[in-house]
Amino acid sequence: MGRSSKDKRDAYYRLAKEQGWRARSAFKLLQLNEQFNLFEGAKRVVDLCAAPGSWSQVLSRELLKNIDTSIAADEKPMIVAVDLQPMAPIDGVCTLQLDITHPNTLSIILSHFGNEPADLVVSDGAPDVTGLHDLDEYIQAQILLAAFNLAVCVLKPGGKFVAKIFRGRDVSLLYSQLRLMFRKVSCAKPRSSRASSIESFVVCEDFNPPSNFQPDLTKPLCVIDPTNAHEIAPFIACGDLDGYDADATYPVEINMKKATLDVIQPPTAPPYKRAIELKHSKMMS
Amino acid sequence: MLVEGDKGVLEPVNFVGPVTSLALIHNDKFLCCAQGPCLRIYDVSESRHESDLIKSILLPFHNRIHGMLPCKQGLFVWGGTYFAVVDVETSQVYYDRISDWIFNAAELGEENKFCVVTSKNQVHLLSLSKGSWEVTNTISCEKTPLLFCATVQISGNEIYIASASAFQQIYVWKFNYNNPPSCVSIDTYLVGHEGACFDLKFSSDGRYLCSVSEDRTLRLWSIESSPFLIATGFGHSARVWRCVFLPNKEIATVSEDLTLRLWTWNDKTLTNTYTYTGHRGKHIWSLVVSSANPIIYTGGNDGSVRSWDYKTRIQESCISVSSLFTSKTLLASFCFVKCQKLLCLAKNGEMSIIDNKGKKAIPALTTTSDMSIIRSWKNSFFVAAASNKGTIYVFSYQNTNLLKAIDLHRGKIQQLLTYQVKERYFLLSKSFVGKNQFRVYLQEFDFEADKVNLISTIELELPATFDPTSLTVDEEYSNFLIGSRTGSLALYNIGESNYLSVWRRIHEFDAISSIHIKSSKRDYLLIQTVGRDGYVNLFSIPRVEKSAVPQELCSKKCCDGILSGGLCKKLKNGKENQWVWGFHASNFFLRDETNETNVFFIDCGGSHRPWAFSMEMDIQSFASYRANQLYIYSTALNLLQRNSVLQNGLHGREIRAMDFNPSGDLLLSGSEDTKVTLLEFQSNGNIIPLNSVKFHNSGIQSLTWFSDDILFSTGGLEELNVYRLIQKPEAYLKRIVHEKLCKPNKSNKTYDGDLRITDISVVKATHLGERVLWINTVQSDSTIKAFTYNVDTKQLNCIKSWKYKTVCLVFAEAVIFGSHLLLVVASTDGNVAIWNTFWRDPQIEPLIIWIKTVHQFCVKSLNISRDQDVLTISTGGDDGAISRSILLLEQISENSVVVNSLHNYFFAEAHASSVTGVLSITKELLLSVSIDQRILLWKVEGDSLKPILERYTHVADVGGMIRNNDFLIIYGIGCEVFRLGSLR
Repeated sequence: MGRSSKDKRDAYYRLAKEQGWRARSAFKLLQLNEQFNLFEGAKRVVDLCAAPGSWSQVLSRELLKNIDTSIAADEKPMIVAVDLQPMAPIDGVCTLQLDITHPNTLSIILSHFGNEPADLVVSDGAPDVTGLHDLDEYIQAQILLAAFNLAVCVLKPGGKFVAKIFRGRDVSLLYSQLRLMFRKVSCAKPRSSRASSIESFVVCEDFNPPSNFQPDLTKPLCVIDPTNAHEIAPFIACGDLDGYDADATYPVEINMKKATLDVIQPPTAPPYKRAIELKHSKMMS
Repeated sequence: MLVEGDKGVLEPVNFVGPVTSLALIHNDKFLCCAQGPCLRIYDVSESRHESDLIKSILLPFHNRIHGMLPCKQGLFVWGGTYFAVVDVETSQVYYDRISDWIFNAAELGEENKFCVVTSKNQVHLLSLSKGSWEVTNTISCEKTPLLFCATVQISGNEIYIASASAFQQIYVWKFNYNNPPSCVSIDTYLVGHEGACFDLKFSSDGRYLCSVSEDRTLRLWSIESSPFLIATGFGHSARVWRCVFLPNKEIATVSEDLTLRLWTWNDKTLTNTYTYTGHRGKHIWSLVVSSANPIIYTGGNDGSVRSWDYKTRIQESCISVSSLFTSKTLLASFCFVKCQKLLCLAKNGEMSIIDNKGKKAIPALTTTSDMSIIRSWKNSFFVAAASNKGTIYVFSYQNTNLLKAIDLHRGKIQQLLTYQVKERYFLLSKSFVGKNQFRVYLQEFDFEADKVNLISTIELELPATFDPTSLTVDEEYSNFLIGSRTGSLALYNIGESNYLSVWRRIHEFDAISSIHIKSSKRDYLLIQTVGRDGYVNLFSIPRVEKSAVPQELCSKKCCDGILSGGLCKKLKNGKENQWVWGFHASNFFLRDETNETNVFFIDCGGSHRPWAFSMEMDIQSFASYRANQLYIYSTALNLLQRNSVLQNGLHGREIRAMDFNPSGDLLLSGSEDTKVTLLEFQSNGNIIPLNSVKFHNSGIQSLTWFSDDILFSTGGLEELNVYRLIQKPEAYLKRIVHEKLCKPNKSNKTYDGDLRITDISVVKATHLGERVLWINTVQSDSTIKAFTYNVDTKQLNCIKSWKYKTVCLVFAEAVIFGSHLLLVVASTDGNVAIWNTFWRDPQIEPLIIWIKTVHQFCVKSLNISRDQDVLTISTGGDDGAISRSILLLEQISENSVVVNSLHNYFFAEAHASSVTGVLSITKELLLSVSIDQRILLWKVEGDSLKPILERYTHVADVGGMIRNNDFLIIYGIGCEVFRLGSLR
């Protein structure tokens, strides 16, 4: 079976290698920032579901850019990256290997911020897509809500939350949940995300919890549908229309010298690692 | 609030897609198969000759069915937040929903009482009373992680739960349901998996738990004592989806790698003892094991359901050659005279028969020559043997006195081919006479009670380099066909030595193993050939017109390995079934090619060893010879029916394109699995696969049907294929055959990814000829191309090629306006442009005459409708919006067309996700469908569009929708059929 159009490597895959990003998803955050100015005034940032770390790379580069080295240490931007998977270190980023649904995670993150609330929380979390769409969409919604639950515990009023969202069957219900806490909720799609993907990013601005809201990480949120509401967030396309198109095919001159670049960061600990090692060692028939 | 329209409008009538759950009910007499919201029930009892679909129930779920459980009232079913009891006899459905995702369920001891375990690691106790449900209690576990799966089992008054988090832990907890606490602590933590778990199962005695995971392993756990991990099973090459305990310390698993695997465990090891293959596409999602019979049923992503006999094994016996004959002699040859009856011939003429009662010597041939070969006429008492000195012996093995010896060849006879039709017995014999030269005779015999009669002997004139390997006779027209070792086929008249015709490369340059005459007409023969190259080919070969070439109707690569024979037989239901057999590496295999199922494999060392095979519908036998030992294998039970397909599937991956033929009774579907399938669309909404072809190397991008018999498909790697619909009423159902592959022109550029032809539009080019078509294609590198295609000569020429920008083009639709061909093109930058292609003048560059940005992001669907000079362009976008542009076309001069906009309708937030299908019903009505799985009907009111009707579709990853006069089809992961009702 040949490769399908969904599986092919696109222009951003090659760009990511050239520019040193660990994954092509780096361009998505860059393009989202172009549209929403997410990094403006951000001093304390949490990156959830961070592995392999391309979003943390973006945060590190953009937030530390033009920072005067003479500024006192307590004034420098602080970035905390959280994932259950191990992650290779990144300059300027504190990496934590934690379960984002565990109640203790909250206090550990806040301790790195000197118990100050965060300005921005980002999450590029998605399950390894199983292909059974109901389960994929359910798990992704749960990951989003887990990130959301953590975000509302660490964000300051007026803060921002950006997360990957699968625009499938239950996407309206997720919008309803998010709108309870933020004054402005948009659905954004950067140019580096393919049109053939149901992936988008929900951008929540101006954190404004209800007065009776009590943060509690021990009670996970769930997708509920009491009113059959059909909430739809406004759509915003991000990125320059004249930039690379993730769906397009670009030519390469035959006579040009080709250089194969190494993978910036291979998977650190894939779940099938041991199965593959055994297979390669021919211990199995 | 949307207004509910007529109940008959957009009524769902059919769903074909992944088999998400299987269950057996009524003492395993009925198999329940869940696809989307559809529950199909098959009678799989032993008393039926073939499993029959007896009922189809559409559940009112807004989720697919994820699990099923036999219960006293019939079947307990759950999917997402929905659950129901289904009375399968009355088709009555009692359903309700809760706020949490249901992972698994169990029936309590009392009637109409169940428990479900949910995504919050909670158990809800449910009670059905007088047709309505009540949640009688809710019990929570102390831990509430993000779960991927859970399972539940009742033991006495206790409920046992195992739940697996996304973070590689399994929690085992339990409580007494008669007096449940509100919160339960965890009894046991099971740690060891290196990825998320997808299924958990308790053993029937409750002592063990098995789990499967994305780490590709099966793990067996003890929940009674430490260490909890008993064993780990490696073997699957992809994520494992389901597991089930079998009797006698066995476990079965199914996986993304399309295998069903059996495991046995001893002490601390799990061993993969057997692997079944046969599903196609990607993913086996579900399995269920019968307790009444040793059968496992599995369901695949393509919608197929298969059954596997996991207990019946091939019987093997081993006999020393020295024990067969009285003197010290060598084995010359052996053959089956019937299944389980092997006739062995020694070099000195001694013979012995081996059957299930043992071995038995029969009187030897009285000969002074070295014997070389023996062959039988199947299911008769007569055999033919040959010697190294050229003598042929035809005799009855029951009475070797009934013998005819014929001195015919001058040297060693290398091969005998036998064929029987009615009471006529044909024998082809071959001896080697020089380099690439053979002496071949065809003889005909008949047999009386007391003697063998030789009817005729003809020495055949062979075509050049023709080495016979197979023989078949057409008695109706007194013809016979011979296949050769180099893939050629020759036609003769019976009784004549000269060949009428010869055709080369029927199987390229590989041997033709068998020839089957499907149909014989005065002008042509319809034959099916099985080749050593692994292909089964269907040809129409001319009988009378010698200069005509055979028409290849179908060519199918069956397997890796070589094919050594094939058999076509009609089943009891009248359908014809095809089996093939051959060798792959050191294995002999038998394969049901119609259902694409391997029946069995035998490790015999390979095809170079002497072997024989015999097959009947109820038994098959294989024998091979190595190291002075004869190994005989047979299948005593009916594996052919047990390892079978109950339900055929559609596509193993997402359907990317579908199209009706002009009359609306046939469908084409194309998929990411690179196949194009022809489907019959019945008046009740049923979809029947007819045949499937695979000529693409990457996923299908678009399909279009032009007239009733010409079809086009496009894909990656610049692939454009042309097909023709073949309809021969006297022989077959309809099928499509391949006619043309357009290969890209060489250029100085290459592409790292695949260059995709994303859409195609075909119209008649009557100014170039009555049989000339004009084809426009759009590509992912922003190129638009124009071709001409001559239907008769099959010649495809590229006339024009031009570029838009650097974005990906996604849709193209041609409109003929006067003498102009206007092409509507949509792209990923959200633009729709109309080009004047100037198709009558190759020198003029195409020109954009109208362009509009209709979406912020990619245009995901396009629909064109026309009323004289008014063109309506409807689009759906990745931004969730829909638009409709009403345009007036005007030709102001011979070479100029202008477009004026009359009306623009736009609805920014029509859907919550990509709008992947729009369809104009009338001037005032528009349908849209989205990946949010909602179908909306829009009405033009004044200057705006208003939604007036909403429906839900169970098709995930919606790729589009099409219609015929009465039905709407939405496709993606599978497809769903709706009745249009008053919208028709």
